[in-house]
Amino acid sequence: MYKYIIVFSKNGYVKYISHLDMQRLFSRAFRRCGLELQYSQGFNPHPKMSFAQPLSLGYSAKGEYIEFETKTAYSNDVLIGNLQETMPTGIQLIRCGIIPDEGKSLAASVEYADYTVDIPVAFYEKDYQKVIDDYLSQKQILTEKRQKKTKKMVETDIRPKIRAITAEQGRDDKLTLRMTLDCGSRSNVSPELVITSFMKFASFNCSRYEIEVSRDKLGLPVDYDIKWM
Amino acid sequence: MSANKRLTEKECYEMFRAYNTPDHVIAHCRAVSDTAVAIGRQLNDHGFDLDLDLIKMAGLIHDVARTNEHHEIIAADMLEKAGFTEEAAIVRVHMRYDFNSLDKINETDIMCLGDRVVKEDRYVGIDERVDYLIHKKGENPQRTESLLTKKQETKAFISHIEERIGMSIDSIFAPSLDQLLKQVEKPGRYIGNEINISVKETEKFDVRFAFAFPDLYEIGMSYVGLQILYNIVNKKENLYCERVFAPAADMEALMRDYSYPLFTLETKTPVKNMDVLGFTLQYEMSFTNILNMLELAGIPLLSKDRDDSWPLIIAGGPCAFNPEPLADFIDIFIVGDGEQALPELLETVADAKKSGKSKTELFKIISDRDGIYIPSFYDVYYNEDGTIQQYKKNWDGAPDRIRKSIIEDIEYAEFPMSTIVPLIDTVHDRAVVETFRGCTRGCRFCQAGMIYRPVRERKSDSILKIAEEQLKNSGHDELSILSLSTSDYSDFEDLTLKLTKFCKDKDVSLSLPSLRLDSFSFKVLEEIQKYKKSGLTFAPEAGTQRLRDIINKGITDKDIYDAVEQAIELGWRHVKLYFMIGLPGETYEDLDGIAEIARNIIGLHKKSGKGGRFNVTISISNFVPKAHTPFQWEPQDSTEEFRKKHEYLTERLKIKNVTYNYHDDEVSTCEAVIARGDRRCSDMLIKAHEAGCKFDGWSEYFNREAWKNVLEEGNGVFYSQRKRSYDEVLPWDIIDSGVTKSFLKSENDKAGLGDVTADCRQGCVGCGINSRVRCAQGGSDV
Repeated sequence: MYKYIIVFSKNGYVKYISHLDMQRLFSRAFRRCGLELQYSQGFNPHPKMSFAQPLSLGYSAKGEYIEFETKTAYSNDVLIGNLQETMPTGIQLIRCGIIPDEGKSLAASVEYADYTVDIPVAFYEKDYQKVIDDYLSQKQILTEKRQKKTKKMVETDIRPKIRAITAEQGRDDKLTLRMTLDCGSRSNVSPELVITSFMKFASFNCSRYEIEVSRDKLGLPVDYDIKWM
Repeated sequence: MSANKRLTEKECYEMFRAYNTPDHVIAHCRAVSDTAVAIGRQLNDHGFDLDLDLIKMAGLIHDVARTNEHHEIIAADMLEKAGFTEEAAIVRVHMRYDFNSLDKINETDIMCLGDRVVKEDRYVGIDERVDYLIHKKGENPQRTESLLTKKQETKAFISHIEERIGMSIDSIFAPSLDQLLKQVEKPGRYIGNEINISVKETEKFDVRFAFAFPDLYEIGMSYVGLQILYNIVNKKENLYCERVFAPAADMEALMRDYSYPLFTLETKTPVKNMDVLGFTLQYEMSFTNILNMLELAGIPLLSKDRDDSWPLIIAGGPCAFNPEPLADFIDIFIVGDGEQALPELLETVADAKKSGKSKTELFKIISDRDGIYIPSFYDVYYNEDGTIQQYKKNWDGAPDRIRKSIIEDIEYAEFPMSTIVPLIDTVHDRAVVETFRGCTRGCRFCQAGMIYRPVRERKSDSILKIAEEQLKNSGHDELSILSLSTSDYSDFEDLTLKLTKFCKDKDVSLSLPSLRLDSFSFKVLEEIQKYKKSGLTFAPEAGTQRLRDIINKGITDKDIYDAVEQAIELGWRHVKLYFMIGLPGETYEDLDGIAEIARNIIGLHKKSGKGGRFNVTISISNFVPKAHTPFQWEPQDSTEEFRKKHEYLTERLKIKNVTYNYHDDEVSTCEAVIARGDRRCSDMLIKAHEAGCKFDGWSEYFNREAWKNVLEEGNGVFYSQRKRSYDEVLPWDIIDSGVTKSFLKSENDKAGLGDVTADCRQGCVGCGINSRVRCAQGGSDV
């Protein structure tokens, strides 16, 4: 058994397809280029393949991870070259590596994620770094989230899961936020919660749909063992 | 103080703070600045040398003192004092400014233009901006007049700029598709970009064709006909076929709000820029969507309102066999198989375009081809009782009747080896191979069984080859075969064994729809559905043998019970049965028969001693008489009658473990009106469309009130509930399906007597198709 990781980016129109669509897209891409994945055992076998972390609909991404197991060994040419040919425009495979077949899944290993958030307000309108500092110096940042099982709205404090936010002068002198948030199965916060609560805090005069979000990096622990090919 | 000191964005915002400029004014300033810069950039691209940075800063600061009287003077004085002389000069004049001529254009012109086309914080164009100003502070005739003069001056200035940059100012500020996509629930429907789509360079083709499916993406992409025609047209280098679907309600609302025109998925080109727009007519209840799509595209609905500058609007598919309700909207119908007729038509359009021929000249060239119906060549006259008196040609060259287009040997009808693979979930998302076209069974209610004659089979080697290629090119893990009656394929057992083995080897699941449930089928089903046994489905269509004989559905009670017994024995736990109500000759005893079958099946399960859960679903649809069938003369039940029958069945089917569902009555009534409608029905479609009707086939969107009014006004019962006499001129008589009217009559007469007609694989039944083409089922007496 061989276990690989591929790093890829997602840009352009393809950012409008969901996490489930991405799973189907990759499993079909593997089939199209004849890459044989290892299947799980049981009544409903499915290919052993998973993403490190789902990406929200509408987000672009610079370095997403997918891990998968194959029956035979494949070269870099196949994993990047052949597979790339069967990808839709907007998905670019960047590099691939071998990961140990034992040990934790990617989802369990990822610790944090970096996001770039482009907001269509003028960078100089306010001292946004100060607004951010005020935002972060709150004791708690309470947000409402619908619980998956009970469907009830529950309040959670997201402050401990925000690692850092900084303001930058972005394109056309607009405001760009760089955020580092907890991400992964150990501790996770949806960037949507941070964006909406910050929008409210800073009383932005713009709508959510005018804001562009990109996930730039998924942070793995420094000792995570990848042999890049 | 340096004369050329330039304001920076940072300084601007400091000034806003110093002057307490309100947020909405700042937003306005930004919009003016962005707008003016965008116009300036276009001009610079066309030979001018404007200082865009100056335009940007002057725009941004121009209303800094807006809360004051004579704000432009205060702002200009302040700017001058601070050393920003150029900005100050522009701001000083922005309230009253006369534009220069184009050759003397400067930064002030552009900033002031920006100010005149922005309303609050959004580009709206000069008209809307002036309207807004006129009504803003209470109307004042003197002020209104001066504003209107300014508007004319500005318009003249704009048109000079537009001439130079070769595009409209509006188009510079058209909203981006991204803006819309971010606000809708399923943006993946509108992005195109799928695997195996055709991408062509715009210079290389002569005719751009948009294939329009008048329903949602998820439905349209499940339609194999789209894949077939897309593949065939795009194989031709000089033609380019793109796709367009009906946008969902949320997207449509945004498109209307932003004036964003209907576009193709491949290149996001407005549909109105196509040479040809072709609708597929799969279902009568999608017709209002066609009108809605034309409107969203900005194309006039009626053919007579479209001159040669508009795209040709064509349509094809099963509903083109009664094209009349759409005759006022569609320029050309393609009736019958499209694999040859469509590319041939598009090639002719290419020639006509090259040689500068008019639409009418084109119509004359193609009008005698098989399958081409040009409604504008015929005028319809009516009798006093509302029936049709006659069709009169207004051009002698037009044919008396339109013979459907037929592909004689479907081996030559190219089937796609490589299909578009959607990125989002669709209804049917799998590889599909058509095994044969047509059907030999002769069910008297079935339109497909009549209009797709003769039966034409694909060789089993070709089927396997296509399946293999499609799976390889798509990455699908499911294969389905397509035909009107799977088990009727001549070499069915051999083909199925091969497909089963092939799919097993490839880890692909095989789906065999509408199987005849004999012992062989069960063997196959056992093989392909080892773990997940989906429900067993069966379509007896009628509850008693008597009624099944009337409709010529060759299934007996014994067939049903034998199959169910076997299914129970093999461990199936769910049986689904399809019936129709309102069939000609139906009585309430036939409805009792439906309940009887359900009860007997439950009884069979009890008797088997298998125990465990077991349920039966009875699914009822309402009979809709269709054109070109033996029942085309028959009345349909009224909505009330259907309702009564449903209530009756609800009572009878209160049986433990039996679920019962039925089709919407009002939708069926509507469908019946359009299915056998004439040209006067186009008025009903327009009225329904104007009342906002769309997605009528979706019960949750069906607008009952609106359609009720439309049908009442248009005398809907004339079309749905009236029994026609054999000598009446029917609206679809203009279309020759290849099956003769005398055959349909004799079938209807036999139905009245309860006589059955055998499957034509057992001997020719004389439908007439063999006088058009060779029919494998015989009929040597041509």
